[in-house]
Amino acid sequence: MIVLYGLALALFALVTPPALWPGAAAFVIAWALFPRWRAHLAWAAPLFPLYLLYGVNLQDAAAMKQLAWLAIRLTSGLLAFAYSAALAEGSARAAPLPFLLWALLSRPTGGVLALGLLAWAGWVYLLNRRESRRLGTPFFPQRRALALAAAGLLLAAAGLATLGGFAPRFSHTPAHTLEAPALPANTPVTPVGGDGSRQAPPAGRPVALPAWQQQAFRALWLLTSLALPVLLALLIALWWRMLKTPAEKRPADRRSLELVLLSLLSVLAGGFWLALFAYTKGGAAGAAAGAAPAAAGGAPGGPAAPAAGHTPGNGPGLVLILGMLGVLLLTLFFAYLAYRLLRTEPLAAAEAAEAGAKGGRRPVFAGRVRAAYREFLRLMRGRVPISRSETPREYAARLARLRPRLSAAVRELTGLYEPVRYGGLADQTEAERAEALVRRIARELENEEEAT
Amino acid sequence: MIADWYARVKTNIEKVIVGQEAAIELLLAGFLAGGHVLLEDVPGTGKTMLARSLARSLGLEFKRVQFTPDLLPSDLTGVNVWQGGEFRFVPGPVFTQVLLADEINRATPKTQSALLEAMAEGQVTVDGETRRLAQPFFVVATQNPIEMDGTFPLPEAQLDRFLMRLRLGYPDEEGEARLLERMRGLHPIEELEPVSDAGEVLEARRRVLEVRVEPELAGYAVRLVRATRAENDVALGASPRAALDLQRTAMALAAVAGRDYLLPDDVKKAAGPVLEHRLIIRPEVRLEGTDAAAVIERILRAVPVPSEEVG
Repeated sequence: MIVLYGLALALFALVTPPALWPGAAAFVIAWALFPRWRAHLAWAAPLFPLYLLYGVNLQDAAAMKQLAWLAIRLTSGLLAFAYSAALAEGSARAAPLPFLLWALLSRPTGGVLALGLLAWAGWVYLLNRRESRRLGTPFFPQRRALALAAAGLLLAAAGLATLGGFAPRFSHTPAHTLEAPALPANTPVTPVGGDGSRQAPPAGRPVALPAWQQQAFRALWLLTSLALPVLLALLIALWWRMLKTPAEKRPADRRSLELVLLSLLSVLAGGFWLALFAYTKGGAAGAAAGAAPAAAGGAPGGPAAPAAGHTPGNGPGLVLILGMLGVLLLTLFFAYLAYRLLRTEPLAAAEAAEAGAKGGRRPVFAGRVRAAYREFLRLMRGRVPISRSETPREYAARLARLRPRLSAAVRELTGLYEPVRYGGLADQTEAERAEALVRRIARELENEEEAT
Repeated sequence: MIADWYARVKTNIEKVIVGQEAAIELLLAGFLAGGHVLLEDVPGTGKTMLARSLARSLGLEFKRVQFTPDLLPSDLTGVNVWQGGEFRFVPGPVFTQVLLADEINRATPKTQSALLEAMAEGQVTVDGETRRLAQPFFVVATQNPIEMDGTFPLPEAQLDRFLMRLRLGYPDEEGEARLLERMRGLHPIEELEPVSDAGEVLEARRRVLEVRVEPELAGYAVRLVRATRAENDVALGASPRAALDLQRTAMALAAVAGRDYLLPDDVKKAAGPVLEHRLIIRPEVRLEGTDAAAVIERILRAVPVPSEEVG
């Protein structure tokens, strides 16, 4: 897994300036060290760029703009990474895809695309190899995987050539330079390069937003402004409820409290970055007025302040809209989580009690038993494949005739699988037993084949 | 609970019936599923004795009616007789808990259809008055597939009312030898003691309804039934009632196996007995030697079983 994280970090380093590397490294290290906190870490992503504030002159509008831009890039990158890593944990083949998309948006060049594809192919390869090792089965990459890896390599070579000397940016200059605040309207939009990539406008050259982007920005801004107070109200209700609940009735593992704290902090951080970004995108007059509340309070209510008397700033409008959309989605996501928490806490308690009554039988163990049986079918696919019209029991009986040495293990595995597939849940012992049986079957098959 | 009940009853029946384990299992499953069973086989294979031993083992009231061409509906359902200045209802043999309709295809269609209401509704109507039958009510009908002279083959509508059709077949050599040994003295049916009662039976039937059926397995049963309608060799496929009966029988088979969930194996095991008698095979295909059992077998080999998908 460390290799995978290293790969992700390498990709991250390629598309981001070094100023973001400490935040990314801290996030990934925390991700690797505290697996139980991963959900919280994902929600807390907006906290990680806070270190960028160190030493920034709040009166320097250009520095503030750059800071806001970097914070958004880091936050969105961390979220993309968290999502990809969570998918990878589930052995999803498309795991690095969200991260790749993010990289593509951050630096839309053929080189990044190619490297992303390469990373994807590598990721799939490593995941499959790890899974094979875990199950104790021989690892033979499928032809499709090899073809994908070959295509990725070719594209990577072409991409590297496109990059022209492989020059990752080691400066603070963002890919999409934010322009000076005072901009005349109706100036041309960001030019598009010959290779289809967006070019940073020349320094000091004013760029205006097209009308549709202005409208979209205003709508998003309004929605975000509305969503934040709603979210705050929900969080306050949640807090109130927690405080009113007698201590002995509170959840024993305190996970709810952690969730509340972290989500509150994250929303505050998100609001802060939003405020900063909105402030830096506003007019010059609003800059001085908006700086103080944004920097001092960091309250989510702050962002609304620059809106008065400010028009949405100029610059790469698509980036602006995407950033706002991201914050809005994050906000709505928090609100949904809080709502779920309020609604499902009693349900979760009842579920846990039920699981206890069932002797620890849970869907997660059922999933493991089914995965083990799938692995068994995969092992047998090239040897004695199951027929589509054959039941697991019929298949076990047929295998007992054809491969008597496997008979006992297959029957036991089938006996574990049937109640899960057609009856419901399993416990941890059953899941572990099923996985051990698959390993045993794999060993038996290898021994048989070596002997012949 | 059902598995214990099943083991008790089965062991008791096997004191009389030898070498028919599969038929006993299906018969009891049909009984638990709340359906009625048609036993079709040549004479002397133990059809009547199976029904009697079932009734006696369950401690249920048993009546036998020999169906003949001159049997009237009222002979079955009962009549109102004028007695002491008023009409008094004299119940017929259908007012029982286990009814053996022996050689059902020898009675006229009118009499056969009198049994239809009793089987489908659990009630009979005499002179405009409807009377409920005792519960549980179970009809075991027999017919001889060879000797067809002077018979009235059951219409499709009535065949569809039977949950399943069973063929006992001859016992194997060892079983037949055991049969001779066992029958040397007093017939074991005379000594058979009840091992259950109506209350326990009704409770067992209720428990069968609690068997968990994965939606994909219900879909599998439906696909099997629908496949009979798409078969070229079949003139008339199985009805939606057949799908219901297939599911109920499979649930009962799961219950007697001691499971509270259905397996595809249960559906497969039930498919032949539940579906075969409902199919009408095209005459030209039948002449070539293809029967309903072969068609069902073909369908079972063609319809995919819901299991795991391997990439």
